[in-house]
Amino acid sequence: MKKPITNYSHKITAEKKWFDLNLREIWNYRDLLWLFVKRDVTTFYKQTILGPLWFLLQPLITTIVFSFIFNKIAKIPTDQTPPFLFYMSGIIAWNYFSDCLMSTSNTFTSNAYIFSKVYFPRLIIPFSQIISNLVKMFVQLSLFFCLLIYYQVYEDQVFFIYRNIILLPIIIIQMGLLGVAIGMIVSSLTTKYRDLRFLVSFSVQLLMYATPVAYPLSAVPEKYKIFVLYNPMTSIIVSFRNSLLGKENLDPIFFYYSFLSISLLFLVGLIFFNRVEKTFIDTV
Amino acid sequence: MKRIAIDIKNLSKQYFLGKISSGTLARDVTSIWSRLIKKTDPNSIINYEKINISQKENRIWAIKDINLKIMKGDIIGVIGKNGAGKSTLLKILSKITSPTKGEVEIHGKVASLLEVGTGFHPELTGKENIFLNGAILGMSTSNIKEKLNEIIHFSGIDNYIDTPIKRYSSGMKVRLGFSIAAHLDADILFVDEVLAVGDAEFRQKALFKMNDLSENQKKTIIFVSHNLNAVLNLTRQCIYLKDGKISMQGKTKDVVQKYLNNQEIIKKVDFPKNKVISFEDIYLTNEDNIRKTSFFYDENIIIHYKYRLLKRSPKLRVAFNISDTFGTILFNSADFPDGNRLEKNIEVGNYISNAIIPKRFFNEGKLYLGVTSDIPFVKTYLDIKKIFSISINFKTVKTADLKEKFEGPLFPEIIWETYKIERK
Repeated sequence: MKKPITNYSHKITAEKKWFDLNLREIWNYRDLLWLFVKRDVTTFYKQTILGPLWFLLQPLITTIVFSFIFNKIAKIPTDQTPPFLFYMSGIIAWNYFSDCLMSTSNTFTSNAYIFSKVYFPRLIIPFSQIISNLVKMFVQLSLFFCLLIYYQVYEDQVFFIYRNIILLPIIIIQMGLLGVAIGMIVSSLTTKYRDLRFLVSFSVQLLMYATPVAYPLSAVPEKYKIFVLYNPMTSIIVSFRNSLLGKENLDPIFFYYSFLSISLLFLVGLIFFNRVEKTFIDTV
Repeated sequence: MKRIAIDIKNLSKQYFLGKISSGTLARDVTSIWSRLIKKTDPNSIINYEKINISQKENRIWAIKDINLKIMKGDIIGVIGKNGAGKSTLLKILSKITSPTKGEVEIHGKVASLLEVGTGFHPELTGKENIFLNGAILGMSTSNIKEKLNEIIHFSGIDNYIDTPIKRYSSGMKVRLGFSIAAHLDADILFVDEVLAVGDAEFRQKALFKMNDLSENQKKTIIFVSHNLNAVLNLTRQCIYLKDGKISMQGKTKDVVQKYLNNQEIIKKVDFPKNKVISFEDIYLTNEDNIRKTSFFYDENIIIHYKYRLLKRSPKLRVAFNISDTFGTILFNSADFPDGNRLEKNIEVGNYISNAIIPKRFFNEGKLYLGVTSDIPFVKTYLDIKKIFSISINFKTVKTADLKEKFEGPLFPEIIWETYKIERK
């Protein structure tokens, strides 16, 4: 197949535009995107004994710990859902979000060496993070579905997974975008302020407790509920769990709120990233 | 008619020296906040006028007002000292950083090789890294697939191509990196010191490939190098950057000549004190009396000695030796080899001695000059082993092929005569 002849002429100027997203250029580099994903996924378990099993062990162990602490000791209810499934779905979703955030948040500092030697659209890196973390998440979700079937068959639990599961892709995309949006803002700022790096890793941990990962929304006292709902991750996590287990109730208005705030944050992230990518090499 | 490939207009780039911002978010925020409410910045130096001056001094133009048009298919060398702005220019052209002023129009697909093997992942195999590195440099996967065999073959590491490259030697990585770079489908290549790596054989191969890319494949190449011989061999046009500006632009040979002449040799040597001979200065020039240590093949090398005899010294001699980079002395030479000065030169007074090493004598490369002064078998007054390193650049005698490089430190002009003998 003969490829169309593209005009590669371009101009380098000193102007700094507020927003200058060259989607066609990113499209031209799509092969690089896939290769980065492939690299991240395949090198993850190189020279390990358990290999891709590591993808599963981490959420599995966290789920066991959560069920023990939050369910058995703290006696927090899980809305008629088996605790194991409840925590696991929350952990998978939260991990995807926080992985996207953390891996994007040092885009500039950890890739400074490559960036100082060769040009390619810098956005490829955050985008490739969304996708390679997605691969990891799919592996974890498949384990989750196995457990779901087990509970359906042996424990006689009935889940309304068919009702909302169509929303799942949208929810997953939103989680990734939110993680990357915050990650991009952080990565743009860390080129100047290294302090943020430390702040972020521990804020993400704390943020998890402000999000209904280890507890259902219904367990939140009414007067604090509004603070939890301001967190755009809340409705995402709840909807995610809902689309899989279908036991919680959430006013759709919060879903729209999350959608809007995530889109806005993503736009802000893009602008920050865009501003920094052209000159960060002089300051990093 | 030739078309313009790169059009650089008034390109400038400013850097800040020293600290960028105050370093922590908290202090920056207080600075910005106090600027907003028009209070004195608590983090500023007290005297406001003083900061203005120091801020101006803290700025440096890495490159300033560069104007350059490069035609399609040209191969242009860029030379200059460290910090002259060569790398900054390439970084702007390859979009790694953006300029402070000016603009560049580029017509054609660009690949920049500021380094070979950028982004190689140690855990991936050679073949996987070809795809990854190729894609980083802007090649599509289908394009790499087409050229895969060629790339592997050129690198010469066919047997190890499915081994993770963490097992490779550094030379093998360089070979692989360069062969990917050499097979890019770009129209315009920016090359920075890439040829400075690898072993001698591979360097020759790489140089030859570069030549092939420009001459046969009509690629536009900007070639930045400290290796003047590579620039001379590869390019016909050249620019000389000095302090961020184009100091000269023209035929490579003329530009290199100017560059070499411009290098000031300020080297103060402390000569040992004694009661017989006191040296004031020893330096090198060419026949035009320009001080330097880098010479062309067809230039005389003149060693100048300035000294004072402090007492009558009939047996004294002044000498020099030339050694190669391994320290092996190639030859010695003295003003009075037998150690008997001419009668008129033995009295107290100031003297100048010049030693002229004829042109077309040394091969290209690096040599060391050592200087001595002694009374044979009695006393040595001066013995500096490596007072200067001399570099010899480019043979104007074009050898039959660029590929051929004669070995050995000397390449003297030898008179050959060949006759055909008619036998009855």
